[in-house]
Amino acid sequence: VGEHAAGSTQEFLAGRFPFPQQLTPEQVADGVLSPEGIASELDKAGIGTGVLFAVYAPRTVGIAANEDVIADVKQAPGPLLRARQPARRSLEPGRSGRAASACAPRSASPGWSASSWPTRISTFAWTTRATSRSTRWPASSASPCISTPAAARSRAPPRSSRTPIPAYLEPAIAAYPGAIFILGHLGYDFKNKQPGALETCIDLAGRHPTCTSSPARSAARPPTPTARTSSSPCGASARPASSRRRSTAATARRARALSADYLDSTVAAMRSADYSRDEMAAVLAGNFVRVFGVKEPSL
Amino acid sequence: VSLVLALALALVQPTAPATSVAADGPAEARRARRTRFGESAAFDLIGGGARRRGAWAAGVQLGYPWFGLRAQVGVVPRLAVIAEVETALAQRWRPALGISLRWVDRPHLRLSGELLLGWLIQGEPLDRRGPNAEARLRLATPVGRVAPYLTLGTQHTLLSDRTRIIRASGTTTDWSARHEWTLKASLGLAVAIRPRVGLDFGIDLAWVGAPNSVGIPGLHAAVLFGGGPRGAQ
Repeated sequence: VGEHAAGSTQEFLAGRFPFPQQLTPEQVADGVLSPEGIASELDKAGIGTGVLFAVYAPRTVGIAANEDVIADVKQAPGPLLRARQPARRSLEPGRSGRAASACAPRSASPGWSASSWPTRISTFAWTTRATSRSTRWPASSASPCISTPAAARSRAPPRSSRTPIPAYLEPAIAAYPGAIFILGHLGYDFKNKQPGALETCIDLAGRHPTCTSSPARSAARPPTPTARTSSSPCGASARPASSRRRSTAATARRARALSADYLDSTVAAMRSADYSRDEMAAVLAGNFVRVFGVKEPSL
Repeated sequence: VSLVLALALALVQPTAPATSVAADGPAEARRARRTRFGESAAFDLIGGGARRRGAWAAGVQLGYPWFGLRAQVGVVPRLAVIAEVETALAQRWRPALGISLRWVDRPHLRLSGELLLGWLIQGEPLDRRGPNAEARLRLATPVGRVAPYLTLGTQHTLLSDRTRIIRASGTTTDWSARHEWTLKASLGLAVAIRPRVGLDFGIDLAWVGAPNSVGIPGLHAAVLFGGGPRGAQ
């Protein structure tokens, strides 16, 4: 392991709740992140279907295993879809086979094999790639990414001085043409509150048909990011190359702001950037179905 | 000398109206009752300060998110020493000691200033430890058995942070200091049930971590009680 700063997942999450909710974050989180809570958020925002991703981010937002996602979707089967997590082997190069098998999905329930990749794991992988050419990314040749979609977040990791560079993903994108890569948050640098790797994301999405990007959370209201920068990812430079391949990845599971509020701020950011109605519609609806090639559920 | 004299005069115990109920008539009885409740322990507590030496008052507050205990005792007229413990959801504690000086002491108006020094203790997941100081204003307007009141406080805490960076080559530890500013306000109504017992209901707003945060309003209810040397009430 190269290095990491101390700090718990609980502290990271609790710091995003207002006082006094931050004093009892588990209770608040249980209410917001329950299947009913997520469905309620979707309903308030007028969103018909949400997708739950399995997440492996032990040092930031935590771990949501396949079993958790499957159980959640069973409780709210109408508005929620799921994307299950591939074996951990593909996420952490160098992990032992024992660890990988222990983390592999135990359920045979159908679902997409996809994952929201954590910033730290991504950062570690990219950093490793940058500093050591001998390290393969991903290390396992049995990676589920070969034939199934994968979502990779490319924003800056919280509490870290390192900024992920999505360009380091390009060899992996080229190596696995069957995998779909989503560059989360358009490469927004949440730490420094600036567009960050936006140009790189646009470039990758323009040159690789399997690579797309998501503006999720990029237009959220303050405090992250600030109002001054909220419209930047929706600026004119972002539109031509990638608007037709954007996917609004499901972030309700981890978003602090209400989905309705987030939707409003996203629309406001696009209006300020002079998006046409068709372009706005292309950003807001149907992307997941198109990108992942699934049947749109009936409401 | 003149300053000392002025301070001495300011702290001189105001002439207390007669509290004995003269059976001269209903008007006299009502006036006596008003005076009686005007000096109640409940109003001492929400108005701050002390009506005379030895007068004491205490209160137990329940609510969301703030719970608290407060006690005060007069050391000289208008000046009281106070001790209090406040907590938010039993996760954030602040014991403190301080003084409370009643600046304006009229039958229907009380204005006090308080200064408290204490220690902040907040548990996981957002650990906070450090010395704390608070300056507080109390304004109360007693009318009969009731007294609407407003309190405004500014609270400052010096926090220390430890950052450990774990590398393959070893672990380094750095310490840094941080300031937490909390603004607090309460608006409520105290009711004197008896001269020695009263109730308090109010709404609170605590802006913890101002200005980079938001505060969520709260509610509280409290039982207030007190007493004092003979003749104090």
